[in-house]
Amino acid sequence: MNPGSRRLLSGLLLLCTLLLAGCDEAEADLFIDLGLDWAREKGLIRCQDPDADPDGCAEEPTPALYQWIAGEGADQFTEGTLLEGFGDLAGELIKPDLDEGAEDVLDTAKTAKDIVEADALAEEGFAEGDPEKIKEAIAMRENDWSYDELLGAVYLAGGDATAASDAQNQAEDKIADYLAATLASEGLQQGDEKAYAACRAAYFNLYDHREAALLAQIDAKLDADPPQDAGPLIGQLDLVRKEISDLENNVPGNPCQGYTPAAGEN
Amino acid sequence: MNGQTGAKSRAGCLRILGVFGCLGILAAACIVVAAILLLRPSEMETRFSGAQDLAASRDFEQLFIDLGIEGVESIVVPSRGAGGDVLIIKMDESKGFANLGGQGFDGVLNALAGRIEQGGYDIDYISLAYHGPDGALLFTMTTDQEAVAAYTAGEVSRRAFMGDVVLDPEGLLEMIEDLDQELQP
Repeated sequence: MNPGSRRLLSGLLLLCTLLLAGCDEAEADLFIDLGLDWAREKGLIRCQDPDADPDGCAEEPTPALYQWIAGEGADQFTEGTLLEGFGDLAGELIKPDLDEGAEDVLDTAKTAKDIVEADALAEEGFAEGDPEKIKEAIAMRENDWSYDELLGAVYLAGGDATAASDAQNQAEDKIADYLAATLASEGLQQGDEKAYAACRAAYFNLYDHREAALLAQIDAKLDADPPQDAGPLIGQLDLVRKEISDLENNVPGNPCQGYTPAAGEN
Repeated sequence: MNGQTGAKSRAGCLRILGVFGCLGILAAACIVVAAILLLRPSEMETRFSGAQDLAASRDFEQLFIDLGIEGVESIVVPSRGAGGDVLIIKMDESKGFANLGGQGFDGVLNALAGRIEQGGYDIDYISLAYHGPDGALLFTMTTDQEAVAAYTAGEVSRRAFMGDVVLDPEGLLEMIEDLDQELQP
């Protein structure tokens, strides 16, 4: 491979690797090798001699590499200015034409990144007791009820029981919508075994998030110096644990009661 | 005569106004439809729009602890409706991630594939999110579970496996750009 493209690709992966604190040389080489394999398979670099053995040949960048880096300006791009093109890549994923047939993976990559970013924001807001940051996360992923549960626990820890209740209601509305959409997409109805299982999974998920959020806020209150009153949070924790128990035992009044197969047959 | 000319002129104006009005309405409708199409969530955004499965996420986190790898968080987001879940692995230096604990790339992938099989998880996609020392997201790598399974089973080479990986280096590129600007005389 010629020095420009080697520098470009190695630089990218080397930086990833060097950032791994305590990373040894073998692991650094491994990440670079992974990057080069990736670039070869994407058609970004190739053997100078097309007939040569791909595992040991001298390599060169392909027009696709320039296209990937420079986008529309590929024609004006020279190897000497490759690094300057990094900025143009910011905010972009691999061009779909380099990755035919991988649209679903590409779409998942974007979604996963959104999840990671929204989660980081929500976690930060939760740790700092900042509802606004959690609301920003909710705006990024408006159907993710776990953020509403974090918001509810933060409000309750701050003494605002009304806002906490509103946030929990929002979470419950979202789970009801999610469940309805899930059942509709699979053609399931109340009374189906699968519908009942889906309902239980959804509500266990909701209550898991509520319990975890409350426990974290209770710990923070009790670990404070001096320890603070965690009474309202503990009261809510007792309530959610009762909800979990009712769901486990299918006690009348639990949110999935109407989905039980027996109820469907009646 | 003047009255007739005036009436014709008004009718002409009304026709022109009518034509422009229709064109305006048509253009507005096109803009609305385009906006709806552009703002519509993607298929995967909808599919993975719900909250993570905490129990599954903790199970995968435990796997990394068992492997001696610190600073790794997992997020398993179930699929809404048909299809498998997405597993996101966050390697975060700001939370203590330092290296792969001597497991190497293949060791970690094999362990992951084993846990997916043993746990009976229905994972369709695996995404790795790498965070730097300040917690900023540097890059993500995403692939589908079939590619991981084929690689760990020895059916495809590492090079072919990497061909199925989608790399998003946005954070890293921004950092390089910042460094580049700092180094400018």
